[in-house]
Amino acid sequence: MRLRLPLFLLLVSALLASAGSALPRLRAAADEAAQVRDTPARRQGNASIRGVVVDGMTGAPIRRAAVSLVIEEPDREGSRVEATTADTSGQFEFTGVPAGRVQVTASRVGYFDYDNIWNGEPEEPQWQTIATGQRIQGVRIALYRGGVVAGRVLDEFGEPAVGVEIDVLRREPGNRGGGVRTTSSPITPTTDDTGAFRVWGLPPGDYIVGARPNRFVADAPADEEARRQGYAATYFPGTASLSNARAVRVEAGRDTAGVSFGLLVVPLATVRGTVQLPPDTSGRAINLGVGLVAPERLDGYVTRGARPREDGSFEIPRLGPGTYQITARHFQTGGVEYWGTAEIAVNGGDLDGVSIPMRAGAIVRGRVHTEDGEPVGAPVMVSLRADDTTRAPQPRPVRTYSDGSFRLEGAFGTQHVRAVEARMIPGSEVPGINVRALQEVTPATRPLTTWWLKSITMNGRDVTDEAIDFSRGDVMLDITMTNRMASVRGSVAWNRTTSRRRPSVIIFPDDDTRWMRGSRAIGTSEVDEAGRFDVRGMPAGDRYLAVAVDGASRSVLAQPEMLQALKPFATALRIDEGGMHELALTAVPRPRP
Amino acid sequence: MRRVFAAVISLSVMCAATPSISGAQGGAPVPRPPVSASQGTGTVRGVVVTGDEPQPLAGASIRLTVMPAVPPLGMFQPFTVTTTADGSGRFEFTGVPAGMLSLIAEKVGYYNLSESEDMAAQAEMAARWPTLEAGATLNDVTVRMSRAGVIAGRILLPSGEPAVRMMIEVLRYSTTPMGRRLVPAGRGGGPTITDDTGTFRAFGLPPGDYVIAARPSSMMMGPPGARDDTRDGVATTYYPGTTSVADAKPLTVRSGDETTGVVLSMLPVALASVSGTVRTPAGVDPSMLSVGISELIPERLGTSMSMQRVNADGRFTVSRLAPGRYRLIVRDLGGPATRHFASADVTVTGENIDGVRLELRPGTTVTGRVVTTTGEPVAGSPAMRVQFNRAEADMMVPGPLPVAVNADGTFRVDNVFASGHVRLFDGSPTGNGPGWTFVGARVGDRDITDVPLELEGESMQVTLVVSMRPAEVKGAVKWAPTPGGPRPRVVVFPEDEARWHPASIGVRVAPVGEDGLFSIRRLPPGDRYLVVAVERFTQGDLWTAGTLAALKRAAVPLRADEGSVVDLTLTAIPPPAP
Repeated sequence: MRLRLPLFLLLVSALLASAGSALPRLRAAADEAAQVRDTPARRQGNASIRGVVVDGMTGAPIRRAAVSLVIEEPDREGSRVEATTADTSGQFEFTGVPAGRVQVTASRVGYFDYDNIWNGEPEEPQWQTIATGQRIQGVRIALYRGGVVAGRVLDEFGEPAVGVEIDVLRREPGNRGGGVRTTSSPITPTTDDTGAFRVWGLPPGDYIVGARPNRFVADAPADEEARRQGYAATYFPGTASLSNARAVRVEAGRDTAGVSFGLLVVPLATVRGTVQLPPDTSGRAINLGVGLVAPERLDGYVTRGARPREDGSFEIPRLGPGTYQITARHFQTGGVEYWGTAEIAVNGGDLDGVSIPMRAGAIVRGRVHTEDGEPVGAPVMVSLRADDTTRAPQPRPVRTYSDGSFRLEGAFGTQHVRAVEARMIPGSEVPGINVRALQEVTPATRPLTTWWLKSITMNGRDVTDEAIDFSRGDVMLDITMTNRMASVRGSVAWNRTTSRRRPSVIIFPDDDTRWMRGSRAIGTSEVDEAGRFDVRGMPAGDRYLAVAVDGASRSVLAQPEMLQALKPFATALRIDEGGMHELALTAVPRPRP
Repeated sequence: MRRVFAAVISLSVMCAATPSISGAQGGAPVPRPPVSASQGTGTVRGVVVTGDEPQPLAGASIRLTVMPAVPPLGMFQPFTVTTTADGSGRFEFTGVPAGMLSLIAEKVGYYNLSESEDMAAQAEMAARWPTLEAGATLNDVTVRMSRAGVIAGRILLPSGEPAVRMMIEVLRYSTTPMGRRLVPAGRGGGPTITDDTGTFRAFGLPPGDYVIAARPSSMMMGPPGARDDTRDGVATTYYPGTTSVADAKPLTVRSGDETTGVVLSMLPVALASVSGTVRTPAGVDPSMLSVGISELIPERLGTSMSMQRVNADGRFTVSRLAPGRYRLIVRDLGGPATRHFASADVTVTGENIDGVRLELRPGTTVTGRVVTTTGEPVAGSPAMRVQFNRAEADMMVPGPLPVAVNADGTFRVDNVFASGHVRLFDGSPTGNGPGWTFVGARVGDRDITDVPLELEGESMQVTLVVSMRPAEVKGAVKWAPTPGGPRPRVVVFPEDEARWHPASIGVRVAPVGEDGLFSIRRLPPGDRYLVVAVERFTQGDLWTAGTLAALKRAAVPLRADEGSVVDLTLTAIPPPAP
């Protein structure tokens, strides 16, 4: 690497001139109480990568783009990142690169880095294999200028609405007919003193533009009239309903101006009620969250927070029309202990007598074992995954003990249970389990011995792919893992000269009800430079479809609309339990949205 | 229904027989029903105006706050009510309780005077609040608003390309007890960041002189934990084009000015990285920690802090630092309190630095008791809290959680990392609780009331002293009033110069009411005080060098024994020459 690291001794200076400041002095002491960890040293090497970053539309080099090199570190079960900045002619170089797998990506504020997009979904970068001492030249990374949406937001008198936050939303296909999600934009734009806003750096696509007026009540207006009205979250061209919002088209490098609209005034109501307090708990210790239930908002949409009084009674003023979910949480150190929720519909008139029950979380206990009933030879991480609609808190994942037993506390609502083989990140063993140091084992990281979830049973009933209702009380689960998972391997033929990136392979069930996010029945694999792929860990089934898609990354493939478009081109496949299947596929072009 | 930022208050009460404002803007005035505040019997009516003529201003939202003439002990919420002025700027409140009134108006494009200047001017406004008697009517209150200004322009990179996503800081000089400091200008609109064309717009500015700075929006861009070898970049650049704060030229904004077309080219600098290791005590996982890094600039009151994660092996690298002096801090949070802390200052000159060691250490535990001046124990309460007033240089050091004194008068404060003056505090405007007044602190026999507590070792004992019979000084002030001008202030301070510092409990500044009376309650008893009334004097003037020495020459000695009430008549002197 180009880093020069002269070894300066520590440059500690005392504080600024001011006397009387008594920060503890730093001592360069060999303190036995302190731990210094040993980890496998970072790999070094002598390969190099050279390339240039260009504007994909004009072909001109992009000055001083930020370039990142991700180096896989299989010994450390992860990867590390080296960063640099391209020079004024867009060129960059990484030296001292070790042999192995790397990713090279570039970024520049206001640009995006994928040219084939499918509904604006970003793609994960490709891994490349680099040999010892290999000199790679001529890497060309194309970035594209983002598009711009600009306009003005006005109040009901036609005057500028100042300081209003702008939401830019993208339609995204989802399980239940799709929805919208806030697009990631380099900044959170707010309107200026003329009511104007400018959202830049957007990938091309169709966007819904909305204004989110300040949703926290600051003043207590004196007159009744002012108290009972407020602004709704309004979408271009001037509606509070997402289904009536009109999307605007944004093109790369172009301004879409004139997206102007007025804020809608809506009647506000006050909601009063009581939280059914847990024993020996004051209402002041409870946190209330009020969230607008908008099934179309896939990214969650919290309206505001509140605190009940000592006796659990609460009042939430100034809520606009809509359906809300009020959740009550009682925290203690270590996680949520009590939780409850109620749904209410508000339509201009006050609501009284709302009751929110609170429950202690369920304890999920059980044992993880092999098909022979023995403990699995590796630690397993058991966690819960909520489905899209529930706002239940997520308990921290837990690791199985050496006998395979586990205990997870604080399970609420309806959630799926997940069990995966896990490993502690080397160098991070500390007393007490720090679950952030757990890392999921995947075929890429542990190709030989991998344990997969085979089945979860509860009271003898198979609940492997079912969401379990934890509101009924504690639950005992029996989890079986197997290392005899099916493997679907093979080769893919594709046109190397015309494709910008290698294809990916996806295997999915014929039955579209199993196409939900995170489904185990969908498996993907990258295709390596030799054209080989390997999809592991698929549950047995006889109605699968397999397809290789040109120029698509795995994350893009799993969207239901994409799967629907790919169906006619897929090969039918049957997967046996623990079977090894070989397939030869020809990559199909990526469908257009 | 306009969500706007605060605007000017310039309050002048016009007595009867004032001609009403004519020439309402646009259309017949729509009478608004009076707002009933339903907690008193007084009435306040007035109009919002703007400009030099002045002209009525429609549609501003007005908030009325009433402060009782004698504030109750402990914490309380003053009475507050809001309304909106009508088409001819008129407003009315009924059912207002007696007390000192403050009216704050808000409207898009207009500014708040108290944000335009420093604490001095804010205190100024407070001195002018009119008083409403019970059941009285106040007519023709005029609320003056002025147009807010705008500074807009473009920021460029050294190459001439637009500087995208740079943070624009709008700063102004403010007088603080520590001296003149650049502080962010209070205004609406959130942080100003340049867009894809390098354009920025800072709006809502009251008249004043502003220093504009452009800086990269985060000092470390790029993936967290990455080693970044980028060696050149841009530095925080002050208008018209310097990296030195002292050489910055402020832009003057007059009422309602739009200063557009400001162009600032950012200056290139050599960037360097600072690496090191965090040593942690047993049980603390380095990968849960972050190093905070902040530039130390003496002229500025605090700068922003960026964070960088620490790796699992304790190593960290902060990249892309422009030359300057920086402070790195690491905190280990065990729950809401900081359990361990480390700090190091580093000077970056363009070469990479390695080997910085930050060793997390626990803080000091300070225990002690509260006693009276005669040594009797004092019963604590949740409102009686132990506080450490840290020095400016220690602003980044985490403070301990507030701790209340126990019922038996003992207390224990854990996790103290920086010293400061030890005080007892109850959160009320006077700071002292019902019946008790903080008068001193001791470590053993050593009086530390006026020096910061020096932390030694893992634990220390401190004794805090309160007086149950504080002194009171009150009386009348004679001065030559000027119409619309501020009233004088009364300053009480100890004769002993060692007690002249911003954290001193013996220095008090009190306003003089419309009736020429003043009252200073809860004064720590002592026999060597000085008292003087000064014209056109504000809290901010107190700590300018030489002020107290100058006042001393004109002051009258005052003896304030325990439980005594001293009644004086003072003649106001002109303010000391700077």
